[in-house]
Amino acid sequence: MSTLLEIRDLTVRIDLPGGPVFPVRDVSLRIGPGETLGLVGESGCGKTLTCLSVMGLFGRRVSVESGEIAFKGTPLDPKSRADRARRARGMGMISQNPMTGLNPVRTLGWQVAEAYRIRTGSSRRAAAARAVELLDLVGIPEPRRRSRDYPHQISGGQQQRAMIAMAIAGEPALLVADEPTTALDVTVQAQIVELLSRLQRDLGMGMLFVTHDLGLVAEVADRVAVMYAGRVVEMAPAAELFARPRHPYTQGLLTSLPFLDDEVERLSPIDGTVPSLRAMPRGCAFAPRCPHASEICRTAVPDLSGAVACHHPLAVRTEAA
Amino acid sequence: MSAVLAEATEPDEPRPLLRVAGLARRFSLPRTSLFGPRPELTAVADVSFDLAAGETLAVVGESGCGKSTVGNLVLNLLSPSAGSIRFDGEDLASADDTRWRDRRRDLQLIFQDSRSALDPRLTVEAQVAEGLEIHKVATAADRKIMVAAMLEAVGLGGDLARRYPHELSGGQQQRAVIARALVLEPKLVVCDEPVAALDVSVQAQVVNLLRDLQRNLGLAYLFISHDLSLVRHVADRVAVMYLGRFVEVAECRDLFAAPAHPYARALIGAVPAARSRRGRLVRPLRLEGEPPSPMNPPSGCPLHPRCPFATDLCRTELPALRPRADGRSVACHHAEASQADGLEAQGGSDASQPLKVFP
Amino acid sequence: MNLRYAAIKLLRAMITLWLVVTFVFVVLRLTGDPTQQLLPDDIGPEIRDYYRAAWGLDRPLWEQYLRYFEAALRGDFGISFRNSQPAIDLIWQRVPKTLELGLATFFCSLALGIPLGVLAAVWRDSWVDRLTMSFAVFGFSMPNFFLGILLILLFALNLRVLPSSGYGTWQHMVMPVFTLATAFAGAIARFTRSAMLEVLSRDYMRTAEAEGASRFRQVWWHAFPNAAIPVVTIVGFSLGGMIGGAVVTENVFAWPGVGRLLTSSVADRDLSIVQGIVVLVAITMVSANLLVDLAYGWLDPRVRVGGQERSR
Repeated sequence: MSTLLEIRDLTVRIDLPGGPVFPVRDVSLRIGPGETLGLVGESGCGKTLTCLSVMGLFGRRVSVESGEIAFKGTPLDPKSRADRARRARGMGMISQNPMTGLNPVRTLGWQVAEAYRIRTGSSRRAAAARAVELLDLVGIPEPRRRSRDYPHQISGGQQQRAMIAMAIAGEPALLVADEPTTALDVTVQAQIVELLSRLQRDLGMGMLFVTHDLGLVAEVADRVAVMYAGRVVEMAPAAELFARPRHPYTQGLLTSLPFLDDEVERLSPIDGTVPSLRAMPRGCAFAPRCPHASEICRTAVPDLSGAVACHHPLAVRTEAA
Repeated sequence: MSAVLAEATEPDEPRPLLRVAGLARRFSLPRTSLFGPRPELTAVADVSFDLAAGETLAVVGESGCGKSTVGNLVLNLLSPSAGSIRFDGEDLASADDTRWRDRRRDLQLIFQDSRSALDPRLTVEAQVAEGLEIHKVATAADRKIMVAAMLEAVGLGGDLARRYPHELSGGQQQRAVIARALVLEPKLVVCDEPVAALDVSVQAQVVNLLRDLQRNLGLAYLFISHDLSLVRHVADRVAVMYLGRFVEVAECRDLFAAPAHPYARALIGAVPAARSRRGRLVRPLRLEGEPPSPMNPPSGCPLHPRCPFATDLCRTELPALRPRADGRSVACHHAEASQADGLEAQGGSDASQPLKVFP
Repeated sequence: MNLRYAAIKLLRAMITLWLVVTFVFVVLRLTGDPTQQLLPDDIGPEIRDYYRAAWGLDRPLWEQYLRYFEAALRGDFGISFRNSQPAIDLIWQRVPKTLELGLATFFCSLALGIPLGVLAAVWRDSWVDRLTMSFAVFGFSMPNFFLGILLILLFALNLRVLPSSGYGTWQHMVMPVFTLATAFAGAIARFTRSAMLEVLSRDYMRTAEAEGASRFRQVWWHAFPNAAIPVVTIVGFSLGGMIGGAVVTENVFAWPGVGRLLTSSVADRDLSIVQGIVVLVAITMVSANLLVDLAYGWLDPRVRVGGQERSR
């Protein structure tokens, strides 16, 4: 399979007053054309920062410490102006909260047209016409009228549709979706997921789909990477991951969620809490919470050889709770 | 005497701890025209339910449906526009201040944002002790013992008890909030999205804690949440809310096996298949559009603009929440059709997944 | 929505003005009998009573108030005690000169303060930022009179390139405008910087960057229209400080404006003129605030179009 996006050993550094921290460590991911890679993990595991690194959106104090990101086979230089333009044309991003992702003083039409014009260099008039088409494409009713509305005048679901219209304005080869449905109501979430799948199929986009919702990622993704404390701990085809989790953390996540049709007295939570960036354990970051941890886990970081970064991967699915 | 007799005729139904009847709450909004009347928003309309001691009733629905308002009304943090709330047979709205302060102990709240619920300048120990001091429970020495026991029970014993809120993780903060609410030995706790702010791996710890405490202390929970798999796990009965109204109230197991109201079915059908062991429980029902603004609700049934089963009747007549023979209450003109359709496994996108049939 | 918003703001402005005019009346009556202050101490009571009757001071208080109010509406604040002309005429003669100074200061400050504030935010923590912020602190911590005197010493007395005081040519304006504008521009720069920093950290700026918008476009097309909303507010509200500064500056540079008239009238106890100026300043402030409110409504679509009719 040819590669659309390849992340190799990415380590991201944030310079804080108390010294640098590394919220993303040695992350390697690969997405093929038209493929959806799910990236799951709890808050603070580094999944959003991975997205931002792919998009080249480094804020103040954030930088790539090591590793590289290649798009369509060519590495991207975060500082290069030409690569910035290449990114913008080839990738689109949807973020979690559409209300804050849209500019409050500009109309929807203006914002979608702007997204199109910057990427294609088309005329103002052509961009305005295209904006209406794009709003129509993402399922906003009466797109011509809505294009004159401001973000606060439309509902959360419509706002997210407008964000999607902006993201796909340049017909990107890769769509980066960072928790695109988390801020939405359940019945609206399903509509947005459906829209994303349809657009992905029609436009042949690869997608990096980031979420904390394991159930959702099972429906959307072809392959899933599980992140914990800045590292990818397990990578597997979606069905495989849910049927036979191999990392104790993945298994813990699955069993700590109640199933809709399970009658259990108690859930099986993972003990303890996520370690802080300042106090990362020396060996495997999950060792302090892991029931299978041994001496080697506390001293050596397991690498992601094969599909699971664990010294004692689970052979078969143990009986869950 | 007659009351006793009335109760005696219904031996299966104990006298409820909480009885809510015809509850409504309207909010008036800023004027839109200079001299026009103030527009009103109906957050909660005609809500009635009973809650027995030791029972958990979950209220589910999407943001803005009024579920948190119900919780605030029950706690008397908001006063109802209509209806009554009887707690232990006593009308709380009409209770005077001292009586109410006395009853306050029996009704506690745990809500989502544990950080803002805790006083940043007090240690965990001091926060938990505060309620006991306010209500002048027991002697100082006994209070100390009670606090220590409570903190031990929520897993904040020893050194953790002397920490300040910012020195605790999110899960530990929520434990402190729980300890503070439960040390007063309430009879009813309103849990408003109690774990929504926590990470998945920590949610399970707190849910287990809430269930253990319920069993040990005989608490009743009014559990407000948007997370259906969580509700499925903790609730005895579930009330599904849409646009300020209860649209279906049922035993938890019955509801998830075969939701009758189209909205309940849409909610349950929207839960990803991977969240149940045997695939989807019901055929998903796709609703059109988004919940309307409560400022101008649709005529008739509030769901009709989004509902595939809607007919002319739905557009004109508001369906009442009617009890059915199978023990649940549903407010829908076409509940039977929706329910049957939901159980039809054939033809759906998940045809490969076996249908879960409940006895 | 739009009209209603404007109507409410206008109504509020009127009420404020009425309160100010009434306040002036109350203060003047509270400070005691004007005949005590204006007439020599050694005249007889019958002369005093004569003046009381002539000035209407023997009337009931409410009647005095109505008369005063009705006159104030016509712009009549009485006759100047010093040179027996209507106070309003004397004030009006000075208004264009102060306006000249004020407007020049206003536009210079905006032209200087806003770009500097924006650049300081965009290049945060760089030398541009530090220089701009040092200039801002210097600007509003330096008292007007002191800066004015320093300028006179340097440019008029030592270098002899600018006239030290007076009114007439553009050279006369340079130093007063500079004196006033340093404080004002400093405040605007600082405020613009913080408003821009706030906006630059928003999610929609990340959206713009992800689209590949150039830095210039991000700053001026996406960020600035948002930052302008709070900046307009502060510009309007700091007008009061500018009026106070103008009084001092006019005196330092002998600029024949309203500020100078005010100080000399206070010294001469020329009450009609003081009264007129106070009301005039109040009108200026209230109209400035009204303009700010209207500009605010125009700049912010959340106020302009409201969010009541959400589409479904």
